[in-house]
Amino acid sequence: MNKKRYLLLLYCLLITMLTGCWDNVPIEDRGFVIGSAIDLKDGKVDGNYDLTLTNQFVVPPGLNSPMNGGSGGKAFMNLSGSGDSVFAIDQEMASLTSKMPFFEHLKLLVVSDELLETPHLFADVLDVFVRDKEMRRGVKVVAAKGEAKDILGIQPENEQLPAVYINNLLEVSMKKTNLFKPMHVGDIHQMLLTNSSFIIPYVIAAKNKVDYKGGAIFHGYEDKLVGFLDEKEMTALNLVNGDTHGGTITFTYDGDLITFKINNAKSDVKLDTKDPESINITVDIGVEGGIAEVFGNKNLNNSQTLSEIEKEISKQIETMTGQTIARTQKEMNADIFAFDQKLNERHYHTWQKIKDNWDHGENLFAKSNIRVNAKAHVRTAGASEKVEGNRKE
Amino acid sequence: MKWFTYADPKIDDKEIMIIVPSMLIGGGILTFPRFVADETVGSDGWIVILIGGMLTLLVAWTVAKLATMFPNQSFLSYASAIVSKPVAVILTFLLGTISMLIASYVVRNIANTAKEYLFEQTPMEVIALTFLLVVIYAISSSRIGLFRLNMLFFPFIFLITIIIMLLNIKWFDFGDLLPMFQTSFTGYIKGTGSMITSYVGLGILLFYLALADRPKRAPKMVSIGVCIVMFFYFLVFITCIGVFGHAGTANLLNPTVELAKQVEIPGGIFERAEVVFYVIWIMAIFNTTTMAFDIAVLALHSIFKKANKMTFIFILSPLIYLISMIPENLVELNHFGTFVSYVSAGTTVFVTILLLIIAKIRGMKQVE
Repeated sequence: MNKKRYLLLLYCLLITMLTGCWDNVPIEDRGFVIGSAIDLKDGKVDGNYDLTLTNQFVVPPGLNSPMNGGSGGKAFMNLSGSGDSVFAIDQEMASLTSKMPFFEHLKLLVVSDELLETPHLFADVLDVFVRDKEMRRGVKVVAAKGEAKDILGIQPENEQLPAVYINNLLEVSMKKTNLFKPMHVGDIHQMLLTNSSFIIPYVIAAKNKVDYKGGAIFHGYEDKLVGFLDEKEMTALNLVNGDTHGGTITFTYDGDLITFKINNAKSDVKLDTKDPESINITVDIGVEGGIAEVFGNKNLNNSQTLSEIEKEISKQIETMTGQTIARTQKEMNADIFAFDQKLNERHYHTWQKIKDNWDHGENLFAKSNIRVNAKAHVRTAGASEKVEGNRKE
Repeated sequence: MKWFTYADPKIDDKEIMIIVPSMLIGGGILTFPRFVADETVGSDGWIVILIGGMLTLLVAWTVAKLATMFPNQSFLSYASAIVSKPVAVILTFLLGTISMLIASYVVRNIANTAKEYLFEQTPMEVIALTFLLVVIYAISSSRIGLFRLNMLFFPFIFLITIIIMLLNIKWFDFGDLLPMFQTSFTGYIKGTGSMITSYVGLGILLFYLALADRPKRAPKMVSIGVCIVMFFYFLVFITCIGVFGHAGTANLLNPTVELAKQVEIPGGIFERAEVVFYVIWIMAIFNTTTMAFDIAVLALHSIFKKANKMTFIFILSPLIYLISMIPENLVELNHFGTFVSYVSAGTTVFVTILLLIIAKIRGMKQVE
């Protein structure tokens, strides 16, 4: 009898175990945030910067497959809030929408150039994207010319969600043209930790698309945006870094315009640190590709013409990379070619001595001699020799 | 092939081998890349992992040698034969207490981490209690069941960890592995010092090897077990360095969790792999806790032979729970963890060496 009583008590206690999960949030109540944009509202307010955060929420009823026919509604909703702290704005946003913001599926972070130009602010803003457990390090980061929230407001025609559109654009860009290497929150965290300079893809909002403007150079030590690279300079940067599987080089040969398509580029950086005051850096670039377009009616399929064209391309690469390097050395003093990382990797002891004088202090980066040797290989000149017969002179 | 009989009280070679990784891989797996990267340069941490592993191998081998000098005798009985019964009781009690402290630390660690990443609203106390209840359930039945659970869980833990590492290849940068061999000597020493805390728990072998089926092979099997742990840590560490870089690894609180969070299969088919990772991590930590708790019970039971095993479980459970609730925050918890690790490692080494030396002095031969 006694035992039965105990059992009864036990069963009563066990009922409490059936109440379910404390953290149960029905999926309908979650507001999936897929893109965030941060703008600097205006200057400092009570010693802190006034930020505007725009979150892009997915509106599932608006997401329709072509089979069902569109319901006409938008598939996303952009909400903005202002305040000092990014996280506080996120929390406030819960009262603006009926759903709890949920960041596990965040794909894109857009920051305005104005914010990037303010020293230290970018690193401060990024903190929550590294610290918060819902955030992932694979979130892509782009810099926007003008208002960052405009980027999330574009109406792409082939995608329903602007953030997904830009995310896919960055991925396709990396595979096809390789012009813009997407920067992820994790990469930036790593760069900021070592005070290295880096490039963020720089975009501008158009009506139904975004336009690439090039790359925004973020100086690691000064902790702010110091300049921009245009598309040609981005190609040069990628050639120096050697991780290119795309991109084009246009040049004139014998009065005619020729476009060379890069299929594969490799670079080899040699560092000579005998004299730390003036480090000699030699970059050997090997490029492989084909002729994609020829204006005029030359037949390029003979070895002499091809070797002349190869020389022309090599010269072209040396000029464009040379100019880009000179510009980053003199104008921005920002080592975006990751020479600092290579010094750390290969000349650890020298680097430990000079790291405080690399892109600041004595500016050893600006003082170093950087030489580029390029070697181009034209593997093919295309499917046809020419498009038309002899031209009237 | 050996047929499984439920009441078979012996553990065979494979089970001995698996005990070691099951016990050693626990809370440390999440955080150790940070501690190691903190003290070393570039990817030099693997040397630290190797040195730590070698030391552990040495200890494990010695413990196994000692335990198998007296085949199928419990720790208390052979310790009594070497150093009188009262001293043996004290040693047993000491090892049991430390095992209990390990169990407390691990319970709190899992509760904290689970609250941080999985159950935001659930009180940490409830998570700890629920976990502890499952552990109690596991150790209430036959001891041999724990080893079977180890055998069952380990392949999953191993395979899923390797899959998560492989899926991170997309982010892997070989340049981050450089520079190599640039760490100073003190860096290696300090790194090994913190690495030791992830190799703790060998004390359980002193007790469990009494159940060994073929004691002669135990030292070899235990050594293989340590090698598995070493390989495991090596893999996780190198992946962390390659993916986050040295600076990133040294700054992330739980580098291994971040690795799991990074996994993304193109096309958005599969994101949030950390959920799978947590499942296997909790399995790993469950094994650690059950064995630590079981050793505490076993130690007490061997001292007070007349009492029922369940009595000890009911005495120890509230104790473990209360001790685990003492640390106020993560910093205190980490101090507690470091303290427990060093004390446990120190005691295991001390007891083993003490017993071995006295046994040699007294000229005790291996009992056949």
